[in-house]
Amino acid sequence: MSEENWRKIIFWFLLLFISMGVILKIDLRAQNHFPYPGKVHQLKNGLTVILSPGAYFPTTAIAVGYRVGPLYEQPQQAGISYLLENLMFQGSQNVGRMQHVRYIQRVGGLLNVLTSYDRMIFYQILPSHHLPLAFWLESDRMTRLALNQAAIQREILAIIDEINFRHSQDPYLSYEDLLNQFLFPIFPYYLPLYGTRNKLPSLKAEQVRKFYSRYFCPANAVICVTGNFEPSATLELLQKYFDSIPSGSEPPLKLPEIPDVTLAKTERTLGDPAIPSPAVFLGFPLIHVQARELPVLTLIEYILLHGQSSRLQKKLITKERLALRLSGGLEMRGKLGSFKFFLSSTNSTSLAKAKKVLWDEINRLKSELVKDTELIKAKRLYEKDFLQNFLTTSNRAVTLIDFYFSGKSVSSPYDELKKIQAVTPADIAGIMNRYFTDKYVLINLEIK
Amino acid sequence: MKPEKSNKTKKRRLSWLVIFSLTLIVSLLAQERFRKSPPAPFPLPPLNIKPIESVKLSNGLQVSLFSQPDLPFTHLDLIIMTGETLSPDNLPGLATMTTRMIGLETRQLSSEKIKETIELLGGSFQAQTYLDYSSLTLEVLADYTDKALALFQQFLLSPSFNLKVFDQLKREIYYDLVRKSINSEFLAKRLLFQLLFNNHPYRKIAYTRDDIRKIQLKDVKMFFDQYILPNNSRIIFIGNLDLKTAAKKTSQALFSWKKRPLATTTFSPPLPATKIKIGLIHLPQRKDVTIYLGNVVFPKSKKDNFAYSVLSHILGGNTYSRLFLRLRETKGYAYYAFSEFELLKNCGLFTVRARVRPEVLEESLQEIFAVLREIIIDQKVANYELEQAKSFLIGRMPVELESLNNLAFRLTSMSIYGYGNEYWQKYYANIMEVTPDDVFQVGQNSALLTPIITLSGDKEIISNHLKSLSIDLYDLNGQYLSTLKKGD
Repeated sequence: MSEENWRKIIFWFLLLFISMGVILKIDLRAQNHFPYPGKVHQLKNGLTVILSPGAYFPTTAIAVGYRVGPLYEQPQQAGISYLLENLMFQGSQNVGRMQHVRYIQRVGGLLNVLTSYDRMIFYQILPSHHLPLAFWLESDRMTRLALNQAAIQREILAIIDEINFRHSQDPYLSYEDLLNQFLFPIFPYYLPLYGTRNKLPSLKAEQVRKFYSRYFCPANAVICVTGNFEPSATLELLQKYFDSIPSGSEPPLKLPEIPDVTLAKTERTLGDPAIPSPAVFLGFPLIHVQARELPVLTLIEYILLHGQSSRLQKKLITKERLALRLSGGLEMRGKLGSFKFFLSSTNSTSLAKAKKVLWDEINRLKSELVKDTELIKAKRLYEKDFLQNFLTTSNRAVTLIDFYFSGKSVSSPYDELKKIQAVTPADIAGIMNRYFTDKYVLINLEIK
Repeated sequence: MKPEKSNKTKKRRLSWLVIFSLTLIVSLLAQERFRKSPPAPFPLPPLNIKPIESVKLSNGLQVSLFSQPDLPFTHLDLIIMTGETLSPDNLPGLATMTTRMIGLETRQLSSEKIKETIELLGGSFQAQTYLDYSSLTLEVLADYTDKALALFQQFLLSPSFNLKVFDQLKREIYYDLVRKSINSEFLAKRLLFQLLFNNHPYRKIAYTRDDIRKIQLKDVKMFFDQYILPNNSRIIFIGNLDLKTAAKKTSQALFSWKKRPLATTTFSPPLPATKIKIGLIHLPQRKDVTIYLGNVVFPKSKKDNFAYSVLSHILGGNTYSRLFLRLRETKGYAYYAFSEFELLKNCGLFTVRARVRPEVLEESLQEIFAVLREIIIDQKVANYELEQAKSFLIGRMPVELESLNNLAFRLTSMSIYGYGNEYWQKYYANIMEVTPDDVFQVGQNSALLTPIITLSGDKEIISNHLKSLSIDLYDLNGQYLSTLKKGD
């Protein structure tokens, strides 16, 4: 072999060795100021890392988010995302069933998961000296989950029990599903978050394994570390645990395009002897809603529904006591959204009055500009909720991943607050007139 | 000569290649090995919590500060050193009613205006009464600390005591108790307080709907005048400010809150139950039974407090603790089984709570006693169990403190029970120092084997499965009805 060839071989060996064994050291300076912004990094296998150092106490939160949920499900896969969310706690290659939970609890930590239609964020908060434990646990379930037929069947039965329990606790739930079918008429946007009782049993182990390897992989994930840690050493540790996990079997599907649909006004009156009191669901579809319109819609939610002095809370609950229950707000499923209201009253007379108040307030927001004081109050309440999301390390980790998935700035989180602060009374009236039209869905529920 | 040199070079290069390859293989295998078992933790970082600073104003109000730089909120807790224990004997619930009246309406601000003002500050407000103290909590965006204190001024100096507002609150508390009358945990816990503190002021926390009905506005006014005083209160700040500023702001807002003589009330510690007694509240159609079991304990020192915390954790602090593993995982009797240790001004309270299937109620109680006997009579706890409990208690402390409400609750307890700043500084060391002997000793000194037991569930189903127990039946208001025995 020639000298030149030897040199080449040694060069490539050295390069390979360096790239596998030695980790890039990136200088990350802790930005110790609230709300502790995040800095984004990318591992070789495509795993996105957000580091946000800074905490009042020696705690660290680790969140792992996956772009997955019912919006990524195919017709024969309905409910598979929620099934996998449950299976993520049922053991992996080196961690036994439910041991993830126990490992975290034993060291005083807390953990949970947030699931929505297009994202799933698993998170844990620990005393900071146990940071490697969280990396070990999360990397193990990202590498190889225990997906045997018995575990899958057991979890399918548990989810069906859970769905039955939810319906037994909330007799209005099936009507909310119906409302969603009218408001989100395009597959898979109307799918329920937890799957359906009749579709779940037909899910096969092979489907679950394929779905897992496609969506629960580094290329489709974001990991966020917040709190008391040293960034460069943590990045090295992340590389140790996550870099060797294969990127992903095949690229995740893109969210289905939303066609130009025009929904007609839909009104239904239904009878049910099992509901405790008459109720009404009202929903306004938000098709092709623009990102710049979301802050305005958010403030509309605060003006109408948030806080004890919001318009509807004050009129329907505190003052006139026309409603027993009042809930609702903005709900986004990918780019398709809706603005919903739910009201229940002791009797049909009160409900009719409550409905009138609801419509009056919707129309008032369309025709009259919101007073400055009321808008400021809504903005301050939003600011409080926004800042609360950064107050604990676990909230911050989840929020930064949510920001990343939504295309919001993780390095400058206050930008989102600025967008809210820029909303004017005219913006509110404009959006009300654009979306709160006669193309609504109304479901009246009577006790029959 | 040249080819020879070249051969040597080749050999040297080959050996380097072999070394590189071996290193590579070893490195890959090592990666596999570290995945097989949980990693060792880093060294435990110190808790490093800043001391709480305090100063007393001329009107007797103590101002305390826990400084958190950059915190975008100011959390204010006005602690009134009067709890439900000081409600008159014939009016349990009066302390709660009085605290809840504060902040509802003032002579200048209607209820509606107060709610709007709090929300304009990006804030929230809560008023609560516990056994030993009451608290008014106002949390606002940091920029509006002065406005929050101005609200406190209104609440404390100009309450309206409007009859309409009072009646509305009375209805609210009454219907809250009506709603809770199907809550099995609430009912069993309230009956435990009633029976355990039968002849002690702590019993008053178990107030009922009938008690609330008796309270009049004049009683509230009198209680307010008697106890809501600066010399009976402390204000705790958590926020981005210093003590001097906190004291100045408080003084400006509350300078006209005048101190008055305060009647000192002392009472002896409650007596522990010395004989097992079982009480039941009948909840028709209930498919399970909630068990509360408890007794008062008397830690002799701070060291004992930590030993009780460790004992409680090993017994039933988590899903891997003895009670949960035995009653749920091994025997399949219970949906859950936990224990708790709570420190009060005059004693400690040790409780076990579980939800079990009614047909195995007696077996479940026997099993709870078996677990208690094992830990406090039969054998000292094993080292691994002790270390596990310590690891949890040490790890949970900073995790818990992240929430402003938890932090405030901890600061309040420290203030009320006189822990002092050394509580933070020595917390880890105090936990670390607990030995199997300490745990065994506090267990043996307690009367946990002669507790009061309260149950809530369907008496028909329970009596069908009674084998040997006698159970006293009480109504939803805690009135004794009859005694259930085997065969009744």
